Amino acid sequence: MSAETIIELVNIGFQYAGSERRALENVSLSIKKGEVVAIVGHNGSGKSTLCKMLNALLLPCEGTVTVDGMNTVAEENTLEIRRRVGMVFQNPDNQLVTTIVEEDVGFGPENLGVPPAEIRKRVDAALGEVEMREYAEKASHALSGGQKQRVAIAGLLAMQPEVLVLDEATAMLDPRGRDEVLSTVMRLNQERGMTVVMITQFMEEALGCDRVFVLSDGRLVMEGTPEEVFNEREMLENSRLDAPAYVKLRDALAAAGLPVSHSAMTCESLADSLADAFHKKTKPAAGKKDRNHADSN
Amino acid sequence: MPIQIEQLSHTYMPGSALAYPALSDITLTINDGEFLGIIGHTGSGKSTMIQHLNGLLQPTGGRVLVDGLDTREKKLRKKIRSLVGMVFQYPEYQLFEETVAKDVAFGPKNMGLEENDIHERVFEALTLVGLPPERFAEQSPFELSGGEKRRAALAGILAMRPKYLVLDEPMAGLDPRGRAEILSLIESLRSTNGTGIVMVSHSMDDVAMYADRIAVLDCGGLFMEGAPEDVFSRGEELLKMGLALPQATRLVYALRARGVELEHNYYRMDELQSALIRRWNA
Amino acid sequence: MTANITLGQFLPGDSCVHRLDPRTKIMLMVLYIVIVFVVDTLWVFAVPCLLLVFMFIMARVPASYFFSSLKPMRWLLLFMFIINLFSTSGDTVLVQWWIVRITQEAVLRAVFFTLRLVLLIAGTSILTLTTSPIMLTDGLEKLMSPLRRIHFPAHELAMMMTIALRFIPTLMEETDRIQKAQMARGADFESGNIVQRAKSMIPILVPLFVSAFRRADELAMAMESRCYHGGEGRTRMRELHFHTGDLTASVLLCAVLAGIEILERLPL
Repeated sequence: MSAETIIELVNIGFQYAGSERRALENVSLSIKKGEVVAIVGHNGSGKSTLCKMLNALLLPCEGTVTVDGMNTVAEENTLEIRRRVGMVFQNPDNQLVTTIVEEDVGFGPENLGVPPAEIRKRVDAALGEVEMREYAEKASHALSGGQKQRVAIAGLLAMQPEVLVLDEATAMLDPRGRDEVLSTVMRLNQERGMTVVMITQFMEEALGCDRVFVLSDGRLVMEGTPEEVFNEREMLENSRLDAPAYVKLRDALAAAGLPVSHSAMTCESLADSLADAFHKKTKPAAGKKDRNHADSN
Repeated sequence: MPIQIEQLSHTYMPGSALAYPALSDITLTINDGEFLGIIGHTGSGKSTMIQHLNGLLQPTGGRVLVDGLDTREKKLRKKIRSLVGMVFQYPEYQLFEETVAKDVAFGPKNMGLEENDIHERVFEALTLVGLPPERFAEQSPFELSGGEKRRAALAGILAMRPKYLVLDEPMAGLDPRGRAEILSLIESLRSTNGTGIVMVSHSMDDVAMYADRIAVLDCGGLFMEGAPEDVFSRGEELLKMGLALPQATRLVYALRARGVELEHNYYRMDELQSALIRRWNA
Repeated sequence: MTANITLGQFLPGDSCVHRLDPRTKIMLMVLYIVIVFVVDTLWVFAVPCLLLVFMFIMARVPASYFFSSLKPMRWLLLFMFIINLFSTSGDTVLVQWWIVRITQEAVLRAVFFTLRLVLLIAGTSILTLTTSPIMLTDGLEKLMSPLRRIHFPAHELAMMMTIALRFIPTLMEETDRIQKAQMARGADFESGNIVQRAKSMIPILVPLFVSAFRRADELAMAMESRCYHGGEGRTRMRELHFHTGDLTASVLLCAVLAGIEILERLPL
């Protein structure tokens, strides 16, 4: 994984016209190529505003946003920036432009003026990558939420982006749809080195990321690995966020004296750590456990 | 009196080439004041089933009795809809009036109540959902935040003072705090007013936390119904249906796979926590 | 459940009509309409009728679609037939009963009128059955593009049509949902006089409009994110090319028109 920065935000400030409060205040962060990054925050923390700055849908009032060396303020960069940073939005319906799936996937390349034969190739390839090839000629409105989001992703892949941004793209999906979208995106990262930025409220989604940024009331209050961030319980509390359920359980058990691993954050890793602890405890080291063991033998 | 669902079947567009059997032979009783959770994979018939509870859909086979009233009788539907309040997914999309108060009053007005009664109910409902009337009654519903809109929509149903409240994914699209607020509101309705709750949800943890009983739908049929303990003890089958398990149950199964057996199939995190600590200290 | 939409329903297929350039089909449809109106003699009507059957066969569209395209209009057709029957004046009286007069001219008028309507409805349905929505809008856009020189927004109109067609089923589902939600609150859409029923639509229309605007906003953002910047420099995945089939079909229909003109002038 290259350590090259692909998106850089420096001292970003933003205020919506007609609003008194600052949506974003002095936010600086950088995203490296090939990373999977999560931006988490409560409702109104500014994460959606921040998200729209990544592809020049919004321009900062103060500070600069640089995508692959291009400043988002310069109008001549806009189309290229939007090609490189593909964005998936929350509502699966309101991203589909045409009636038929493959025509929708081709919408992006058509806008870029790509030659027709090349568009055809890209559409087929993109649908293959999101595992929706059988649906190429189907009506887009009839798909499930997860399928619609995958078609949206395919539409972005057809433009050959470097970064995929998911703006709470799983919020309106059922668990199966959420799984479909997340596994597709993770696979793209692992197999193609696609940089992924996930804006989310679900802490569980942030667990699989390389780094997590926490926004609260327009400010960046913490950045770090998921482990580092979820261990800052007080900071999370103040940011009106919840640590993942297993992390909370782990901490409660640790406080009660169980030797659980400090890095266990998922069901599997917590089960491993607990099973280890329990097995070690019942080993016939000495004392009262011996009699029980002798009986069971 | 309970809601009785007797051998309910529903086929969309019966007799045509596109006939689709959404529900087959469902028999279920929903008791006064109980919290029933309805779970099932997407397409299992959950939405279809709840629309039978207030007569929005008519059975193609079997019948549904609400407090003894048959939903197939057109004349009884108005009464049934005042007994069974229904909150659809993303209810904020049904707001339409000029002010929040007028919108909340829509339901009571359709019930033909007196002005004073309506006013009192609107006031009560808004307070109940956490939207103080002094501040919110005269605002336009379209100026509220997402969470506030949802609560306003909920108030619109509560103002009808239904005996049963049917909710289809009431927490969809809300942030963790919003989810917790709506859920505790629903539970308090049940514990304070004795309102029967029927909640369709994909969130196993929420259902595990609050439901007295759970009904599991699978491909239009009732797979099983019972206490959460019993339902979640059939984890293998639930997983095969494409359903998730509550997080506590998942951990219980994971521990079991690693040779650590717990006395129960815990489905609540707090209970699992206590059990693990007890086991450690034993 | 999703509403069944026969409105402009597209039937995917690979017939030679399907493969015709949409521009050809649009222009030939205009020609077909001219043919239907030029015919003015009873037995000459056989020609467009045969043409219709021919088109259905070539498009490999089952006969059931002929009937389903007419079904929504059946009462209107009957109504118009009866109106024409009784309102046209003429000389050769066939039936006289009290104030009712049916003349031979009237019968002919009524038959012509109804026959024309049937031919029009069924014939134009072939266009929508064999052409996908985006091909239709692409064809229209291409046909209108010479008008761009006088600043006619051909591309914008075509894009609007594409998006409108895409959202019809979605909006219909939403209308259904909103209607059900309001019914659950005791709304009644069936009883009352005209004024009451119109008023009762407000709880459906207002949320629908608000939602439509919100969708438009979000869709615009999504389109911009996908580098949409108007019609300049846009290519198409499926390019429109004229083939020999287009020439053949055009020649055929022109021949039919010419033939009808000749037949009409024959002293029979």
